[in-house]
Amino acid sequence: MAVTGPTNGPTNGPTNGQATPPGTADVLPSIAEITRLLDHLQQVQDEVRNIRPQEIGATHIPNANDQLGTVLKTNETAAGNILDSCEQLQAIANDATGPVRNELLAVIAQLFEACDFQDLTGQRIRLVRLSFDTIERKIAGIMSALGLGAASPRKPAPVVRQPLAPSAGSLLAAELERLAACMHRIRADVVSIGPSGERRASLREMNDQLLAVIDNATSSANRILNACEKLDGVAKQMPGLRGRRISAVIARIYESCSFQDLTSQKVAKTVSLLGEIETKIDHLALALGVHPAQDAPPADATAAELMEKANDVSLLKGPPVPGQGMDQSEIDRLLAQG
Amino acid sequence: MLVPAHTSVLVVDDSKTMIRIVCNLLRQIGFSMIDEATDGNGALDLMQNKSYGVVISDWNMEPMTGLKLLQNVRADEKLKKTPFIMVTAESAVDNVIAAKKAGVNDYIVKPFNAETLKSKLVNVLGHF
Repeated sequence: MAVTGPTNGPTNGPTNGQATPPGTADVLPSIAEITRLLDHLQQVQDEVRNIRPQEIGATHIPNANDQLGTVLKTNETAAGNILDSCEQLQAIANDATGPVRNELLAVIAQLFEACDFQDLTGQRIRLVRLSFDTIERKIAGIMSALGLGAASPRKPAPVVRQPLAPSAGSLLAAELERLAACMHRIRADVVSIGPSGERRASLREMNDQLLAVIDNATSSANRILNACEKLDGVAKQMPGLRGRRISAVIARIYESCSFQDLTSQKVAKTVSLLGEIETKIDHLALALGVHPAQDAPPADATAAELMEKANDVSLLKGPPVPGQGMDQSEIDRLLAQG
Repeated sequence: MLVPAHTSVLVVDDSKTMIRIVCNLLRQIGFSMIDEATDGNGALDLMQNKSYGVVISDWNMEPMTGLKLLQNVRADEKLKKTPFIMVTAESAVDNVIAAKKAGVNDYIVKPFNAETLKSKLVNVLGHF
């Protein structure tokens, strides 16, 4: 059922043929319009109540944040352990000589590089959490405006009940405008998280960022495991205590690589929760009568606008999802241009 | 020819992991005088008290971002000639343009490897 604003056409007044009291006739159209709006609002409230969008903020997002919090902690611990191991290897390399030393240093560099997963995962998850905050805030705003918020009464904002008087017409007209403006705000909020525009883009971006977290973790774990295999070859060339120390370090690094499995599992759960959030928002949009045509994404900023924002943190978009952003060689070319 | 061992480097990043990665890679390349800061304000404090051969900074930090740090460095008569390399996951064209406009010497996109870091240091400091 769609929420509509006040109509401009004729409205139905009393039809029983009775004479209306003086000063009343001019307010009857407004009363009829307000009654119609309140009926709509009541129906929308019932539909929205059945969808239970408040579960997004109460259950889905906290659950997703918990999953992502565990990912952050696991990744931080794993990266810390691997870097500790690298530093132990570095000490062994400092005592070594010849080709074995060079081989060891090359492997250590590979391990250091592979540890960047922690930083990238942190940035991606921060972006997803910011989007969660936005969705949560807007859902709470919509529920409150519909009179369905936790602290709000079940009934919509009341119509001011003034005794009919010569000024009653203008009072009712003002109340009618207030109700229509309220409807407009609700619809605008839903549009902003609506089916095909900003919200869809935002949820798609969140989904892509989360999938990129899994890809990063898998890629980093593979790079680390490859380095460990090379390290094993170096250990075999260094008999005695140093070889055994390297083997012990390798074992610790292998253990740390479990971050990949845990990251994949937790992020997959979050992606699933994201799907549930999307379904609820879709239903909410339908109940509020938001159509795809009203839900167009904002136009791209111009280059001039982007430059104006150069001092602003709005330039911070985080790591690009695969296929977006420039690679190092493209950046080098851009920097080299006059 | 610059000798890395004689060049002071300031690494600025709010991720302790990234600081460890960059510092260790720098040590492998041959740098030994390396200081660290976890945000732009901390970096500026260090720079006011010590001359650095190059600053390697992340962009995405709070409260002072790497871009703001770069702008502050370029606006400071004493610091403005310090070579500045931005190391960041931000790889959109508007980010690179903004950094270039602010006077960045080079720009490394994460993830990166030791070879990229070394080549950018060579670009900025000369062969070593």
